[in-house]
Amino acid sequence: MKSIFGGVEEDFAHSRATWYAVMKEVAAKEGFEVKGEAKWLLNDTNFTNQAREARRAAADIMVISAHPFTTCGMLKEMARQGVAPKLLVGLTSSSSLETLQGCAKEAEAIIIPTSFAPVTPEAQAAADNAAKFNGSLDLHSAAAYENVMILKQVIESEGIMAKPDTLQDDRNKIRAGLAKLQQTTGLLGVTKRTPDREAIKPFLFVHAKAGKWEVLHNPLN
Amino acid sequence: MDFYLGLLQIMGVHTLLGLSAYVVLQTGQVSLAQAGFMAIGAYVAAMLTVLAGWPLIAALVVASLVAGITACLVGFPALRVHGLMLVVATIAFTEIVRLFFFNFDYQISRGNLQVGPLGGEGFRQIRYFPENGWTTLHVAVFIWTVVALVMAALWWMDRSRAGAVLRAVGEDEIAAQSCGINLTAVKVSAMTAGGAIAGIAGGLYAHYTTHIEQSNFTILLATFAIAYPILGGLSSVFGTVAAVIFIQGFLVEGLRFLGDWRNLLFGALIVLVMNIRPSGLLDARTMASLRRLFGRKEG
Amino acid sequence: MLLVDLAQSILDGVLFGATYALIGIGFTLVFGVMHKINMAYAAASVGGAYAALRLITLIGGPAWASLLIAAAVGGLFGLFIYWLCFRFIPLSNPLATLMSTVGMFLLAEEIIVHTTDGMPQNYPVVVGGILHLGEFMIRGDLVFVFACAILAMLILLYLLYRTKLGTATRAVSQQPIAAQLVGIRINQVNALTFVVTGMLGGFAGALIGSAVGLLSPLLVVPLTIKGLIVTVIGGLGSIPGAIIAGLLVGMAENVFQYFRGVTERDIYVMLLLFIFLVFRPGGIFSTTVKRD
Repeated sequence: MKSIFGGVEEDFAHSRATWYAVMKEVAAKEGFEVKGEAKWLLNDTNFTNQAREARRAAADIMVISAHPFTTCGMLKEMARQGVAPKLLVGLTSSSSLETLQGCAKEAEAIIIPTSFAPVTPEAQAAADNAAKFNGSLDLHSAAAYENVMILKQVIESEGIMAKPDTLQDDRNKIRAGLAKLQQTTGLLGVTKRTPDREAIKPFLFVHAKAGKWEVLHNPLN
Repeated sequence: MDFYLGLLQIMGVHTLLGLSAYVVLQTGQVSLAQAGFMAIGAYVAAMLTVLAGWPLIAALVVASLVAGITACLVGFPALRVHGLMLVVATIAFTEIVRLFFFNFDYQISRGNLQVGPLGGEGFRQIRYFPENGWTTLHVAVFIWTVVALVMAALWWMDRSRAGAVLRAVGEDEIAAQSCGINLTAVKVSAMTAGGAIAGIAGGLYAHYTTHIEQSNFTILLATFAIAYPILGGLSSVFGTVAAVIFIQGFLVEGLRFLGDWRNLLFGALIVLVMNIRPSGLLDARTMASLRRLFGRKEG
Repeated sequence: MLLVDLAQSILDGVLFGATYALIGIGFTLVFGVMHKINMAYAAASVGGAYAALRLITLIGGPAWASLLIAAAVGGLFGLFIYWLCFRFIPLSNPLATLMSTVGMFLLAEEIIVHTTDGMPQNYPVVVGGILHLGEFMIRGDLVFVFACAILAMLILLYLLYRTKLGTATRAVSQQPIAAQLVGIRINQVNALTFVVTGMLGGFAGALIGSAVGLLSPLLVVPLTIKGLIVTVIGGLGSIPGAIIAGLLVGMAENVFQYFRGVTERDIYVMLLLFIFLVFRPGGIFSTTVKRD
C-alpha cells in the first residue's frame, strides 16, 4: 500500500488537526503518496462530490477524520459510487457505538486507533458493568470517568474542603496535586506519566467486525 | 458567588441581545439578523482590544457603530420584504456573517504567540478583563451598567414620539403611512438601533467568554434574540428582562436539578407560556396594573 | 474529465435537491396556503421518521412500510402541534404562534435526543440502485424522492382545488370570519389541514432519512432552514415553485462547492438567496409582488 487520501470535517478543530497536522504529515514522512483530501462540514448530508474525489484519487488507504454522522454519510456514498479502498481508517471519535448504530454495514472492517478498549481484565469488568445498565463504555465515557476519578483522588489527598474563604488556595492545591501525580489507576489499570505529565497510555487498534468493535492489535501484548 | 456573578453576566448580554430585537419588533418586523450583528460586534471589539490594544469602552463604541452601520446597509434592501420573507432574508444574513468569520484569518505575532481570529478554530486570547485586573464582580457591574443605560434609553424612547411612531408602523403600516410616516426611514432606523445594541452585546460577550468562534453565532442564537421580547411582551423593555430571567435564570439554571428532563421541559414550558400569555409575560394590561401598584396613574 | 465532473456535480446537486423539494412542499403549504408559521414542521417530520424507524425495527417488515407508518405518525404529530401551538392562541397574534412553534421545535428535537441518546440511526434503503448512463451515475433513491414530490404535488393540488376540504381550507386562510359565516367549522378545517400536512411531513422525513441513510438530530436545523428557503424562493404557497426551488438550491450548493470549496459554499448560496429575495420577493412564479 503506497497512497493515501483523506476525508476531513472542516468545521471541527480536532478532526482538522488529526488529519492535517498528524496523519497527513506523518504519512508523507513515512513515504506514502498523499493524494489530497475531500472536505465536508459536520452536518452535511450530500457527499457526492467528496466520494467522487475519493474515487478519482483511487488511493490504497482512505482516512476519514470526522464524527460518526458524516463518517457514515461519506461511507454510504462511497459504497454507492463503488469506492473501495484497500484500507479504511477512522478517527478515534468514531470508534463508538454511534458509528455502528448509523452504518454497521458500510463501516465493516474500518480500523481506528484509539486509547481505550476493554482489553485488560479491569477494563473488561468495567465495560461489563456499564453494559448491565444498557450503557456502552466507549473511549469518551471511559476518559470522562477517569478524569473525574483523578480529580476525586486529588481532592481527597489534598484535603480540599471547598470553603468560600479558601477558594484560591484550593485551586492552587488542586493544580499542585495534579502536577505531583506520577501514575493513576484508570479503567485500563495503572497508567504512568512522562516527566512532562503526559499520560503514557497504550494505543490500540480496533476494527468494526460484524457490527461490533473488536481489538485488532494491542501493543500491550 | 462567582457562579451567580457569571450567570448575571450571561443574563446581561442576553438582555442586550433581546433588546436589540425588541426595537426591531416594535416596527412589526421579525429579524433573525441580530446574531449576525452580535458576531460583528464581538469580532470587531475583540480585534480592537487584542490586536490594536484599545481600551474596552472605545472598542465597544466602535463595535457598536460598525454593527449599526452594517444593520443600516442591510436594512435598506432587506426591509423591502415582510413577514416570512424577511425572516428568511435575515437568516441568510446571519449565516453569511457566520460563514465569513468561519473563513476569516487575521493573526499577528505577540511574543511567541499567534493572536487573532483563525477561521474555524475561532478567536482565542481575548484577555482584556484578567490582564487589567477586573474581577467577576467588576465585569458583572460593568455589563449591567451598560444594560441599564440601554434600557433607560429605550424606555425613554418608548414614551417619546419616536416610540409612538415605531408602534404605529408595527400596528398598521398603511395607516401609519397615511399619517405621513416614512416607513422605510422608520424601519431602517429601528434596524440600525437594533444592530448597534447587538454590537455592544457582542463586544461584551467576546470579552467575558475570552474565546469566540463562528459556531457561537447561529440561527438558534438569533431565535433566542427574538424569543426574549416576544416571550416577555412588547409593551415595555421590562418584558425582555423578565423573559431573560425566565429563560436563563429559571429554565436553564433553576431547573438544573431535573437533569435530563430539564431540556424536555424547556420547549414545553415555552409552548405553555405562549398558550397562557400570548402577548407575553408582561403584556400591556399587566404593565398597567403594575404601574397602578406603584401608585401612578395610567398615562 | 473536468467537464464530466462538473456535469455530474450539477446532476447530483439537482437530484439531492429533490429532498429539499419534498420537505419544501409541506412548508409552502403551511406558510403559504394556510398563512401560519409553523417552525416545528421539519422537527415533527423527522420525529415521524424516527417513530416509524423504531416501529419497523420492533415489529419487522419491509422498509417501504416505514414510509406509511411515518405518514400516519406525522399526521398525529400535526394534530398535536395544532392543538398545542395554535388552537388556543389568538390568530391575530402571529408572533405568539411563531414562538409557540419554536418551543415545539425545541421540544421535538429534545425528545429525539432523549429517546436515542443523540446517536445516529441507520435508515434502511427503500428504493436503491444506481443508474449508469455512460460516464454518469444517477442515484435511484433520489429519482424516487423526486417522483414522490411530483406525486405529492398532484395529490395536494387535487385536494386543494377539487375537494370540499380544499375549498374550505383556502376559504379559512383567506377570510376566516366569512368562512365561519357560511358555516365552515374553522377549528375542524384547520386541524384537518394540519393532519394532512403532517402526514406529508412524516412521509418526507422518512424518505429523506432513507436518502441520507441516517436519522440524526443534526438533520433538524438544516432541514428547517432549507424548508424556509425553498418556500420563499418558490413563492409562498406555490407547490410547483417549491419543487423547482428545491432542485435549484441543491444544484447551487453542489456547484459552489465544486468551484469554491465546502467552507465557502453556503456563503454564496445565502448571498444568492438574499439577492433573490430582495429583487424578487414574490418567488419564482409570481408576477406581482405579494405581501403576506
